[in-house]
Amino acid sequence: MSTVTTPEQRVITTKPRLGDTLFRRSITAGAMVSFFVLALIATYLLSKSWEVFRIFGFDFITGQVWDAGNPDTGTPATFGVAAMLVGSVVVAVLAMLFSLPFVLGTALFLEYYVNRKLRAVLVSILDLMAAIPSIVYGLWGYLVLMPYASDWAASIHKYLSWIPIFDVKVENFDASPFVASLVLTLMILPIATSVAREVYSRAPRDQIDAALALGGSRWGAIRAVVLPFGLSGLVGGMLLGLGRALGETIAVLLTLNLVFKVNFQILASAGGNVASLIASRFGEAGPLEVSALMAAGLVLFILTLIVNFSASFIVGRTSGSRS
Amino acid sequence: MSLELHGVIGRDSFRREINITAHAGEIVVITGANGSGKSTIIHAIAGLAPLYDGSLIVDGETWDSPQSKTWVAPELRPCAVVFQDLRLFPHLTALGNVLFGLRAHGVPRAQATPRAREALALVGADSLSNRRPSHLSGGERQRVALARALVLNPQVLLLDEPFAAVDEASHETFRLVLPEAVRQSGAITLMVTHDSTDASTMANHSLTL
Repeated sequence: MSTVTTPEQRVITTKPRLGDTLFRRSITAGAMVSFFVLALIATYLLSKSWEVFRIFGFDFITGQVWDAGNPDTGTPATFGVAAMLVGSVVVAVLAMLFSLPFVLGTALFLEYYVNRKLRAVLVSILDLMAAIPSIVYGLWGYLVLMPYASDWAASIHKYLSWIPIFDVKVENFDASPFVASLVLTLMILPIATSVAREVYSRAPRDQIDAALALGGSRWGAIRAVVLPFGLSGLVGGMLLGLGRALGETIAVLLTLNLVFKVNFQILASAGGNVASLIASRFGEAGPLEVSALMAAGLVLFILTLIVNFSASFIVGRTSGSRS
Repeated sequence: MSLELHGVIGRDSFRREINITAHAGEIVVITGANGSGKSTIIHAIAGLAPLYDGSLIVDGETWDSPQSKTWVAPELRPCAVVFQDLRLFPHLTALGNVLFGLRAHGVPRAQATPRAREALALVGADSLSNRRPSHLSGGERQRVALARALVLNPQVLLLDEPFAAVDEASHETFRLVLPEAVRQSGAITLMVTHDSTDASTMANHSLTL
């Protein structure tokens, strides 16, 4: 009978060289700076907003009234961020929905339907859109888009008011979540398209060839190979756009009528978002209201972090699983 | 119907002058060392690699001719290819993969599905129809890839080492089934292989690079 002997396990030790160690430590330190800054911001916001959370507790998240009070009349201050929080989400989600077909079409067009020279020009234009300051978008939205968008909103209301979100109590269609989200659509288009294009460009060329070799048209190959491959990349890009839309301040401030009431009627001239609330109230706020604005900022900060981490996770999973 | 490829594939040190003439129902077996350009011939006929000189004429129609600047896009060539690396669509089931080409050619689903199941049965993969490629063995994937090509009844069938991963018993069956299927469909078949038995038992013509 033969016996099997297992050799003793070897002990493998690796001692990195000095250069490797220094490089590793320096890039680790660089990466840690980002986390450190993020933690500092969160800590600062939490410390500044602690007073409000102590006084109002969970009502700050669920309350809709934002009233600094009046010491002369003895009216107490009441702060609740629910209306602005819901407004942020409504406007951002609308912008994401409006931009989806454009993001999808632009990314596919740039990646699969134009030649290299034209692509370079179009990508530069798209990048330029990302570089335009928010105030310019806001002014354009207010001065140029709003008159047209109000007419569109009136038409939508006329024919679709039986759908609750298209109904309005007062027929004023200016400065509505609909208008603000159209402006945001243009603002998130570059970042979302850029991410979607990047993921689509990694679609396996050999499988596209296989689809063509089996008689599939170019659209057939895109549908069979590129779209399934890039689905999570598209979702990630859209979520990154959503992150930007949630935090957008000045463009929303100019194109949306700030009303402290939860509003799901997207054509009504009432809404708001957390960032524009902070921008509009910060200048004249007393100490407690500043604390409330910091608390609103903290809520927005956490919401944006969650959205951005979700986007990074989804995009990372795409590149990791396909590489 | 005939296929005439008289031209140059590859550039610089990969440049090869190729002369192939094949007729309907014939199998041309291509053999040669690694890197000799066998797969490139398959890709050139499918329209996935260019000819650098000469011409490719099928059934009197020029598919590729650099001189006359004629080039027919891959999706318009009545070809079907079994690639060396198979290239099954990972998100589709075996049946979905076989259906793809039929649906791309506009065959209604009601007619395409029974045809796809027949093709899977022909290669002994009918029990695999609901499994995705990631849940198939190498040999099973190869059967699905073969079914995906055969189901189209192409004028030109291009097979790049189609039996490399199938077991010996199945390989033996395919040596009988494939020539019969080709004869019945009248397809011109070009098959790359390293297997000398395939070459000797199935080829009407052979080409060594």
